[in-house]
This record gives sequence, C-alpha cells and structure tokens, in this order.
Amino acid sequence: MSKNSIDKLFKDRLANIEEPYPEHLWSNVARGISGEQKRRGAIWYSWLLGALLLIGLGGGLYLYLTGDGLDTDSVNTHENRVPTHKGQEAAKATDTENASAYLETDKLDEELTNNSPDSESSSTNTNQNVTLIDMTNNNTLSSSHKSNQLNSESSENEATKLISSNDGWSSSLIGTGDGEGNSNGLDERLEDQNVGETTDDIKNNTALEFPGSSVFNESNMIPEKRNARPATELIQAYRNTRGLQALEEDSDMLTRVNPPVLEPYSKKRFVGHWAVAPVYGVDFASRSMTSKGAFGEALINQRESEEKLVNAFTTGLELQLSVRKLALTTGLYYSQMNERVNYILEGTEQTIDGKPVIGDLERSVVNRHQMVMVPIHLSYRFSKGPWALEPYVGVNIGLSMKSSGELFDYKSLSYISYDETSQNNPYNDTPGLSYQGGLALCYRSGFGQEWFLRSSYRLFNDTFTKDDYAIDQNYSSLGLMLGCRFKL
Amino acid sequence: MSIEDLIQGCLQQDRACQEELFRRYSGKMLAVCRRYCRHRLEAEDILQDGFIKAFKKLDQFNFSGSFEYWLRRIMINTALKNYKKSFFKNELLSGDAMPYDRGVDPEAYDNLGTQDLLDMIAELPDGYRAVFNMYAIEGFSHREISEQLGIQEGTSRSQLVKARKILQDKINKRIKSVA
Repeated sequence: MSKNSIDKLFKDRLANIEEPYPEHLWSNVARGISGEQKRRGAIWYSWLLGALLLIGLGGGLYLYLTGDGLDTDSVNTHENRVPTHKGQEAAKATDTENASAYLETDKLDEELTNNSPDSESSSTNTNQNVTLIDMTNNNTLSSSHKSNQLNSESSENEATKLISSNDGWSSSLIGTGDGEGNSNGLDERLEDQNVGETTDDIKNNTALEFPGSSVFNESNMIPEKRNARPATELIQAYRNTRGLQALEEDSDMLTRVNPPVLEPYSKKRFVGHWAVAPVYGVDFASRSMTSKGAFGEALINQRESEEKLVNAFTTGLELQLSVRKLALTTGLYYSQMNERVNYILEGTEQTIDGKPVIGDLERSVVNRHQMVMVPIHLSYRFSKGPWALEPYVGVNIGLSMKSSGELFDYKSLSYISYDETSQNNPYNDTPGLSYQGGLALCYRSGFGQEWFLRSSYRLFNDTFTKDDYAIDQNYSSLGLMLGCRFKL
Repeated sequence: MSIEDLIQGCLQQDRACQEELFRRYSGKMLAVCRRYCRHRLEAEDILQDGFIKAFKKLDQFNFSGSFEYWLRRIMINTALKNYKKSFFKNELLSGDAMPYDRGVDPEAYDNLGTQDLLDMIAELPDGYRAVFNMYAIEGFSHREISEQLGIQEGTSRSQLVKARKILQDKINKRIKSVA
C-alpha cells in the first residue's frame, strides 16, 4: 500500500463522516454563549467594585482622620482658664499675655472683694464678677475693670453700656440691672432666657481674639460645650446673694458656666501621611489537594505526578496610610503562578520491527493561575534611625482569577487542556480571600523615599469542579517582595 | 430554513436559529474534532469551544464561501490551539522512515471500519496526528502546516512520514488479526 493510498483511504473514509453528539452539548454551548457575555460583565463589575472599594476606603479614612477638615496646624492649643485661683492661675498661664491677663484679673478681684457683697451692691458686683468669669481675654477684662470703676456710681446705663459692649454673652447675662441692688429685673430676664438665645448671641460674634493671637471663630467652637451650662446655675448663684464669694467657691460651676467655652481641638488629630509604593516579589509556592468527596480523594491518589510551582511572582502598586506607628496598606496586586506538573503518561504499547515506539511517556504540563487582588494589610512600625521593622497581617481580596493548563479527566483517564475561555475550565471564577502576613525591613533613604524588603506567607485555596466531583487546592506560598515607598 | 436565514437569525441572537445551526453541523464538526484528539471528551470540548467562537465571530462570515468550510476551519484552528497549548510534542521516532509493508492485499482494507480508522488516528502522537490530518485529509500544504503549528516544513514532512508508517503498521496488524 503506497503512502498515497493511505492518505486516500483515510480521506475517503473520514473526511465527511458525522458522529453522533450528546444532547448536553447544545446546552453547554448555549450556556457558553451567554456565559461569555456574563463573564465579561462580571470582570468589568469586579474591577469597578474594586476601584470603588479603594476610593471609599481611602476617602473614608481620610475624612475620619482629618475630622471636619480643620487645619489643626493653625489652631492654637490654648486652654480656657477661669480666674478663680488668683495667683495660681496666673502662674499656670503659659504665655505672657495670659499671665498678664490673669494678673489683671487679680487686681480686679481684689477690688471686687473690697466691695461688700451685700444686697445693696450685689447686682453691680455680680455684673462685674460675671464679666470676669465671662471673658478671659484682655479686652473683656479691661472692660470689666471699667465697669468696676463705674460701679461706685451705680450707673445702670453706663455699666450696661460698657458691659454690653464686650459681647453678647455678657450683655445677655447681665442684662439691665437697676444698679440699686434690685436684681429682680435681672432674674426675670435670665429666667426668660434660654441657652439657645445665648448661643445665638455668641454666633453673632463671628470672631473672638484670644491671647496668643489665635483667631477662633464659630467653626472652632464645640457647640455642645458651649451650651452645656444653662444659665439657671448662675441664676441660683445670684439668688444666694453671695455674689462673688459663692462663685469663687464653686469653681466647678464657674468652669462650666464660663461663657463662651471656646474649646479648640487641643490635640493635633491628623498625624498620618500617604505613600505609594510599586512592589515586585517572587513567591515559592506549594500545593496540597483535598477532596470534598471520596471519589475526588481517589482521583488525587491515582495521580502519579511530581509537582513544582515555578515562576510564581506578585507585582503591583500599594497605597499606604500611616498614622503614627500604624499603617494601613491597600492597592492592587497581580499575582501569577505557573505550576509545572511532571507526570507519567502510559502510552500505547506498539512494536515496530521488534522495537517499542510508544511507551510510557513523561509529560510536562504548566498550569497558569493569574490573580488580581486588593490587599488590605495592617502593619505596626518599630523604627530606629532610618531603619524600621514592620510586622503586618492582612487579607487579599480576589477580584479576578484566570487559569489555563491541563487537568486530569477521570472518564478518559487522560489529561485534557483548558484555558480561561474553555467550557471545561474547572476553576472557580470567583476568587475568594487569601490571608497574608510577614515582616518588612525598611530603610528610609531620604527625599521621602523608603525602601523595603518584605517577607510574606500567603495562604489561599481554590476549588475546581469537574463533572461530578470537586477538589480543593490549598496553596501556601513564601514570598520575598521588594518595594520603594514614596511619600505623597 | 436555508443556511443564510439561519445565519441571519443567529446574528440577531435568535436562540432557536443558533440551536438549529448547531444541530445541523455538530455531527460533522464533532468528527473533524475527533480526528484531532486522542479522546472523544476532548473532542467534545473542542466542539463546544469552536461553536462558541463561531457564534461570536459569525458577523465575520461574508457568505462568499461555504459556511461548512468556514466552520470547519474554526474547529481545526480550535483543535490546533488546543494541541499547541498541551506542551506535549512527541518526537518518538528517529532515523529514516521504515519501508511500508506491501504484504497485504489492498482489498483487505475495505474491511476496516470507520471507527477503526478513527481509533488509529487517535492513537497517533499528538504532533503526528495533527500533521497527518491537516495534510492527508484537509489538504493543507506543508508550508501551511508549518505556519499553523509553528514548526519547520521539514518537521512537518518528517512527522507525516512517521504518521503514515505508524498507521500502516496498525492497519496491517488489524487486518492480520481479523484474518
């Protein structure tokens, strides 16, 4: 038989034959047609979801850590003080202006003490006292001083005018005392007033200047504290007719009624900074397989193979937010594992002229797994000089996974190929979480750059489902990653 | 329904037309795929992938040629792609091709069934099987085969000779066993 006759034999017999096909093939194809569209959509949505997650996480953290956008660097850490303990308070004053303010307060207190807190002068004394309590700035004190001087004349108009000129709080609290020791009118007014009106008065004062030249405005105040003390406490103090003495004794009350409580944020709240880091690392991975059923277990045992995970690597871009010694790292990783499997394939025994031409063959297959992940890692920093150690733990959220290679088909007892578009691709299209931890050695090289070498131990699993069995593949990889962090 | 109508229906994503097109050609195409694979299941997978590709690329069919030929090429390309990804290329035979056994009456070949021939092709090493199918049955030239498979023309010729030799011996053994 010539070579042409062999060709002709096969061509004539096989060129136009038909084979019966199983019914389920069409349903597979139909599912594949729509599955392709869905898969594309799923990938697109997974990327969108990942991007939104990143933006949301980063934005949320930024807003949380920066509060309501207050520029804390420009805020003075001045503390409100109440001039109740005369010399001590002055000594506590941290700056010259504060000290002088309290010294002036001492003078005024002395003057006030000289005035008998009897019923005749209680209204006026109280007015002055309230003014002292009211404001801790120089302007107010000087005004109070003036009002004290005017006290001897018991001039209602003058005192009211001066006091009212300080701010809304003073005028609203003091109102229009009759200057004759009759505080009824004042009491009524105070009782009629509520805190809200007082706050409104304060709001009308858009800016108050404090010692230290820091400007506090409405946005710097804490409304809750500002409104915390109702005027009824103060009213009661007035009613006790003890005036200054009562108020001095009740320092706590003074603290609370001290209007307005302009309490700036006393701490620098946002101390974090952002950094971006391209990274690349190699992974040394291993795999173990477990089955969800006895049949799958038998399949695993049937394999005669030697498996090596080679060319595994991870690369990507990290975004890190550091707050003091803590750091939160996110970003995007691309990880690839090329899994080489060497196994024995039993060939067909053939003999030509007494020589075996097909025997047992060693077959080498590469399965490639490609993953896109979003890391969420938390680390703590131990630093000394330019060096630092950063232990970290976290998870990687899998966005996408593609696999290609060969798998063992138990029906035909052979290995069949698949890729990411194949219908027989057994791998789960929905990657899950992988867990990662390790230690990074960092070196700050200056110019806002920091190099780091990071070890990682990653655990993840994947399930492939084929026909009526499923096998879990548990991967563990030990990696070494190099990166350079740039401070933003 | 004519093939043109079916294709137009498929282009409009009519599922009934798609199914009809599939059923009309799947038998022939499965036979094509079968020749390129060692196992039937593998051929079925290729058939599925091939049809999915065909439905996706159907708008590229310009009606200038035979649809069956166009579809067949898709199946062959899918099978070859599958072969190239297998990382399994056998180069078992070395040396000169052995002479063909001429001791069997040619009429005896008539007794060979189609399934026998398919089994013989399936038992060929992957590379031999691809070359033999493309050259002997599909009518590709060695140049085309070398381009499709990414091999040298000489390799294509060599593998064809070796494939013929193996098939010859299989046929002879089969005939002798029947006789």
